[in-house]
Amino acid sequence: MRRRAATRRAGALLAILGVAALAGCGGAARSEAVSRGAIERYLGEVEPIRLGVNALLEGADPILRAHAARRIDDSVAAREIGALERRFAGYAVRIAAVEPANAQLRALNGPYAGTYVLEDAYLSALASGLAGGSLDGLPHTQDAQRAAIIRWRIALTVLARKAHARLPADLQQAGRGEIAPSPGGS
Amino acid sequence: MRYLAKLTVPSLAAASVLFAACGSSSSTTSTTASTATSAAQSTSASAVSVKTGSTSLGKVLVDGQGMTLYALSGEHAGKFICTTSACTAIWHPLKVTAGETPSGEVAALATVKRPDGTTQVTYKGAPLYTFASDQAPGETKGQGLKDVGTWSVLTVGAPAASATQTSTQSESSSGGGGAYGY
Repeated sequence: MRRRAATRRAGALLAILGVAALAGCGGAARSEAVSRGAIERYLGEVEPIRLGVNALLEGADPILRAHAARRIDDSVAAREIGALERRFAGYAVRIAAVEPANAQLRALNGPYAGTYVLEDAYLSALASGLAGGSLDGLPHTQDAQRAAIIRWRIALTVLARKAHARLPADLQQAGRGEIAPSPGGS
Repeated sequence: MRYLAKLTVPSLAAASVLFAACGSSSSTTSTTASTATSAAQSTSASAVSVKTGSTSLGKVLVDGQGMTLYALSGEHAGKFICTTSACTAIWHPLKVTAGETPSGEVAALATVKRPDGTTQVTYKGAPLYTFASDQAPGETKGQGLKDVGTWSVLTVGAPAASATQTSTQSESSSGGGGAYGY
């Protein structure tokens, strides 16, 4: 039930983000140059979210490892992953709320924010699955998430190159590491 | 995944060269001649066996032909990451036919159903693969490679968590530090 609700919620949010992304894909998006300052302001908003999310997801692994090793039971693991999911949801809202003035950057951010929705839905399903003792129903969205994140990174890199803006070295990690915590805790 | 596909689909040979180059950048993945020492001398009706073989990384799991087997970080408990044709063209799932069980005296062998419906051999829950660039028994060119996760040989006797974490001080190409790729 909770999983279905989470899926519906994720679907609705994705639809909103999709509309926002399409709105940002108008003709103006192609013709308007992106300044170095605009890119740096955008990154100034996004980087704390992105790095925060990576650090947060690192926190899931010890929980899942402990669960896999039976050091904590289903209910404890579900509660801790549930708490992590709620914190992640905060990041999902923050990234969705990023609205650069530049249309190209707006168009970039929409699909990237959509990957957070999918991750939130995955974490929600993970918490429900742990509570219910079955992880068979976890959504398989990692391929889509990874592709969207990589498209975002590459497009951002192209814009930055044109504008002679410097990107954080860590940005190259985007789309390359793990996307979602594994139930096996690996 | 799409990124991986763009890199690897056009030519498996090119990808193999790429991966081989990646492999050579790690300090300890050079290969040595080895002999796959069968831990499964006992007969079995199964066409797929898992044995142990000696490599420069120590005694690791190998398939019936002595080729090194790998696991991918993040793939466990029925969760799959390497699912596209671009990935499986390079990392070959060790499969059995449905209902068949892998043979071998290595403990903790089992099978898992892949998203495409085929059945893959697992070791301590981790799906097993061979690497296209490994050309001979004993080679471990895939060790430590990162694309859709980190690929590692499976050291015999190691617990599940560390079995897929045989470190070679390689990778870390991005400076990201963490394991997650947001």
